[in-house]
Amino acid sequence: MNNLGTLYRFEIKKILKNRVTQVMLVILCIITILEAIVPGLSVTRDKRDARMELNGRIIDDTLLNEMYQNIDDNGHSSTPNNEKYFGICYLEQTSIPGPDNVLADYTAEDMYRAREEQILGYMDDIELSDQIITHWKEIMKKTEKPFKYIYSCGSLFLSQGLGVMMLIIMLLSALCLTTVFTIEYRQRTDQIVLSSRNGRKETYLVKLCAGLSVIIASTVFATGLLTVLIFVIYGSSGFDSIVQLSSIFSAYPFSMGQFIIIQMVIMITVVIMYAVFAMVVSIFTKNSLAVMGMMFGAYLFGELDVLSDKAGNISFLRTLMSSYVISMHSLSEYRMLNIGGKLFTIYVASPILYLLISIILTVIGSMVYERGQVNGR
Amino acid sequence: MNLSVDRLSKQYKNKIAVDRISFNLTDGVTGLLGANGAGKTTLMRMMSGILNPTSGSVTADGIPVQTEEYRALLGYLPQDFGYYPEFTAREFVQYIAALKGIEKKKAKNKTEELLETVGLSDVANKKIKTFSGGMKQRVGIAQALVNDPKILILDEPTAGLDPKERVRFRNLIAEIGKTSIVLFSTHIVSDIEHIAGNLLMIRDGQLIYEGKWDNQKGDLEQFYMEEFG
Repeated sequence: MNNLGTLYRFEIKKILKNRVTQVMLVILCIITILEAIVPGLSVTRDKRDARMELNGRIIDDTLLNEMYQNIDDNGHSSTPNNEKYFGICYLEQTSIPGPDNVLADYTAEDMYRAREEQILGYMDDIELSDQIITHWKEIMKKTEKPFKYIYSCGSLFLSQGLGVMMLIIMLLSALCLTTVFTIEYRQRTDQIVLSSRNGRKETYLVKLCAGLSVIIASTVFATGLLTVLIFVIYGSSGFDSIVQLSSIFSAYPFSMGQFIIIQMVIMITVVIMYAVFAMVVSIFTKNSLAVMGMMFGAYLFGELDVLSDKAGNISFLRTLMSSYVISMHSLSEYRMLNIGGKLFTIYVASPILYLLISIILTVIGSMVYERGQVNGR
Repeated sequence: MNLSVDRLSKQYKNKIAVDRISFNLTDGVTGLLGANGAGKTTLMRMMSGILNPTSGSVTADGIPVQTEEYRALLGYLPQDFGYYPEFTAREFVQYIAALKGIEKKKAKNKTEELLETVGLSDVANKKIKTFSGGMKQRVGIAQALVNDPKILILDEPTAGLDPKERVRFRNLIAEIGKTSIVLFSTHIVSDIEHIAGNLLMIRDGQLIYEGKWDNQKGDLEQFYMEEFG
């Protein structure tokens, strides 16, 4: 155990002494700070304060009638002071389809009904099974109506920021952890390592642990920093607002705060998978660049919007990609995984899948590494 | 300790690098002589457990080469010795000591002792990337000895050493050879003459000579030039 501790510390040292790691960690800090500050630049302090004036109000006919006095037929500003109705106006405009609708012709009940009809219509369009649609109908009942309005810029920025951080963490894994095993090949220390008593099984485990430690610590640090900055700059208001105020067609009964916690938990499983993938696949390829290419390609596949939602399993596979699951888009994802008649949302299926991939890769990597040879030099 | 190499072979697609070599080694220093490409490094890699043979076996007192037990007995200095540029000499030897399963306190003491022995105490805290070729080689020698190996395999260990360092090295190896099996390969015939009690000569993957070399057999260097020149 004593030796494993010493080996672990040396492996951490190898990772952190890498110039690329040092640069990437600095970039991670900078991006995190920018993610906290920049989104708020598009919404001035005055606008934020105005939008918070209606915090706690129920979005019912009383509030809608009040709003109609301050907007034109199509929801545009008719008075200087309608900024406070921004979020409610957006909710109604989006819920009631059609560019020529006069918003004042609709009641609150019309708005909520239209919203749900759009959701169910979309579920029909992508040919979801009756079982899944029935399941969603039950879930949607859990969201209390009428909605309570709470302005949520801080929580929205935090949620969006987590998605951007995922990209940086992926790059950190690709650039820094792909060298955990390849360094021995590159520096020609593999001959000494593999011929040592603890150079096989123990070294493999220690290297994996060291890589995971660096990436998880970086993720926790960056997430914590982003959260603290968001709280300081924008306050804690909005974390108890329902997700439907940020993602109109979401069927989930979460608050923004609950969604952010889900994002953070899933993020940890994602970074574990990124780290294990980067380290293990590099054992096979002995080439960091090749692994970086694979990881970036997979990330881009998750970002692609060219696949039709009716494209079956391939389309569903895309919804399980980490870049999609962590993003706000996932709140409007209705497809579910059906295993033996039990339905799982992507928030349940994806972390299990990521951990499973991590375990499988770890086992395969162990088998390959322990049989490693020094050949062809 | 008895190190047994039994009909060891390594074949690549179009070439037989090591061809059914067999020999036994006991405590003492054995020199491995051969031209470039003769198969010395391939043989040593198989004996160090980092290259799988096509056929044949290597055992130490019956312990197979692929086991952790065998690796615990082994000290190996490869021909193209690698290091971590950002590590200091002290850190590197301590790291290898941990890899070899040496307990922390003992590893610390042994590291200091070895750095003193190879003449690197004064630069122990300097990064290896700042070292000359000879100094790097001495770090390599130190790491090979850190676990007091019963089997020491050194692939061209005197490469890059100046004459004074080479003499120091010979004395060190001679001392170690009293209680361990030492196999070292070299092109420098005088290294063999000074310290090797036993000699293996290899050409095109085959063992062409095994045994002691004495003056009655003639000049070793001349023999080498005739066989490998």
